Amino acid sequence: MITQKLNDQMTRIGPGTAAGEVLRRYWQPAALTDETKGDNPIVPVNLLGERLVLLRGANGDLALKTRVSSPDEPAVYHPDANTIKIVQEGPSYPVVEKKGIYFAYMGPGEPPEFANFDCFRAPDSHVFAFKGLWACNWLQALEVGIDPSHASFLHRFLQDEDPADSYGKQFRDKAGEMNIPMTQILREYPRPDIEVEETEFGLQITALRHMKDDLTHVRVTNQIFPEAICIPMSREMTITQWHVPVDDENCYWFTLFTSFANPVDKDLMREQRLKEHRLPDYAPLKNRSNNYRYNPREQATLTYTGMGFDINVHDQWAVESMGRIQDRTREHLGRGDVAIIRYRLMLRKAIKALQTKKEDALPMQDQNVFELKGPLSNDAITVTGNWRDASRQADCQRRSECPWDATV
Amino acid sequence: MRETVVHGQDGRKYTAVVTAIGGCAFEDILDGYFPVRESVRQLMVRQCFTTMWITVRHAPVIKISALPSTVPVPLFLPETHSGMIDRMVLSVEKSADGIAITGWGTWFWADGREDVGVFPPLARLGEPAFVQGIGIFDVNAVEPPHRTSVGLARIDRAPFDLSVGDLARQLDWCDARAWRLSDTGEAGVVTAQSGPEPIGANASTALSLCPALPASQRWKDWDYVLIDLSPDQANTKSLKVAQRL
Repeated sequence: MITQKLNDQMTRIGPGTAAGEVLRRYWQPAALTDETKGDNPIVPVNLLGERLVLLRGANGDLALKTRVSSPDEPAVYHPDANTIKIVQEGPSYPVVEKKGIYFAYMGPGEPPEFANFDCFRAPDSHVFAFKGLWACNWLQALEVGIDPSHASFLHRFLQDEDPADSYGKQFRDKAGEMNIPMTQILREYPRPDIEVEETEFGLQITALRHMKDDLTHVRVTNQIFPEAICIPMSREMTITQWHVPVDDENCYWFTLFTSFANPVDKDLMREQRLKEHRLPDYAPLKNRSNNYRYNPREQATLTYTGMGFDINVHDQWAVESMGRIQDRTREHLGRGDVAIIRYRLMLRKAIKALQTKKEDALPMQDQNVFELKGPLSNDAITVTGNWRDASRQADCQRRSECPWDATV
Repeated sequence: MRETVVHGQDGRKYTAVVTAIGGCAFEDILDGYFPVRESVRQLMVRQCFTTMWITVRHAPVIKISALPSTVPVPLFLPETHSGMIDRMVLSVEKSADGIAITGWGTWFWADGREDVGVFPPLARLGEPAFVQGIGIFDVNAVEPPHRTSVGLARIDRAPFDLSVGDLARQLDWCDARAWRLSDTGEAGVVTAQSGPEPIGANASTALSLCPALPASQRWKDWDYVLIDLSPDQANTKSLKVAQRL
């Protein structure tokens, strides 16, 4: 329950805005390598309220440059490459390619190093990149991802699938090494205890679902400052997902799916996701215009939302239905929103740090960023009293069996 | 309670009195939407403390003038005074009629009005706020811990070379942090004041450099509060929190 002025401070991201200046101090996902063809790509990019184009500069390096645009262009506009004109006096932002995503740095000075997270450290064969468009502000998109309770409701499946059919799908695997589907745990234990700890990269969020027989389901997820999350998808894979503003009222999720043991079946992963999205803007086929293909019969028997089995659609509906920019003058957070509360504190601290010229106070801006590994991100079922060690041990076990160096 | 004698650079002897007390470093969420005083009282009860020092940072606040303290906030925020606490340090103590709060801080109101020197007693948090601090257990509510992790110290005169570590050793601790207790705050009032960063000094820091916390009446005889940073203590959670204070 904050004033519109304070809400604007956290949500608006154009050049010169408070939150926009924070985001510009970090590498931002700009486009997928899947969107480019050949060695000299020309791809329109709409990022942080700026109309840009990805291309190779005179020196051969990739860069984002401002393109000539019209004020009445749609938010996600993809003009034909042949019609794109560069604003000659505009900025040129450096771009690097990492694991299928072009990252751009749009801030002042030298860009920070990349952390050595699993998604960047794994070989290309073990990482798959995809993106999708949501018609809402980036902050509400991020905040649903750091709320561990929502999965028990929004992603509730009334029947469990065979985990053997779960490849590439979130929450459909077994939980830890027990023969219990994740869907069953989320359904039967909807009120987790939530612990949040500030880390060098952001927040580590632990959801504890206390079960029968002195067992606890431990789900460890992470907020990576400023706008990413890292969460377990299955025993095999993690999801590192950025919620990247297109403008104040639209954002893309960019995800790196990282596999520990086996190479990712990229063709299958892409095929699964392209069934739900259109090109070239990666807009979801289920959306507000078709009521997210809501099916009341499905809702009565199969899912909480009645919007199909893709959890991305559930999240999309939840965050888009709050309005383009969530009206936080009507918001009432509780203690269960602890991760959101802690995140906003970090964001406000960062805003204040920039306003007082203390850029070094921002997370992950120092020389040692490359030393950051992991982060630990997994589901485990452990004896209640020893959940912390057991969770870490389960993660280390997975890492030790991994063909690439995933040690932490 | 132990006394230690140290030699200052001026050759004089100084006496410090140190005592350990049941308490811990802690982190918690202060509920939003109630008057701040009520949120603080509930936090104190939940944590079973009789005294605590807490720091609140970057927390939105609202003050709806016509809203009695016992009435819930409305469903949306009307035109009203709202703002943000940049930083606030509160010393809280159980009292006969509930709690007594003394403190200082910096805050602003979005409309620029009411920029007075005292935090409005009926102001409410606009959303729950993360707090860190040190609490002293209510011995009637919790069993005394096997090992105390909070200390209090009084020094005749802070000599240049007396460090936090000197006091920690008197408590058989390997390492500690300390905060100076200040009596500058007006009892029962949170005043607008830009104090030093409320970050604890480490063991090697000379005590005279420690920042100040507002002292309550009860603790006014003490100069410093210390928190145990010994790595071998059983309460690892409290230790980790203490390291972050």
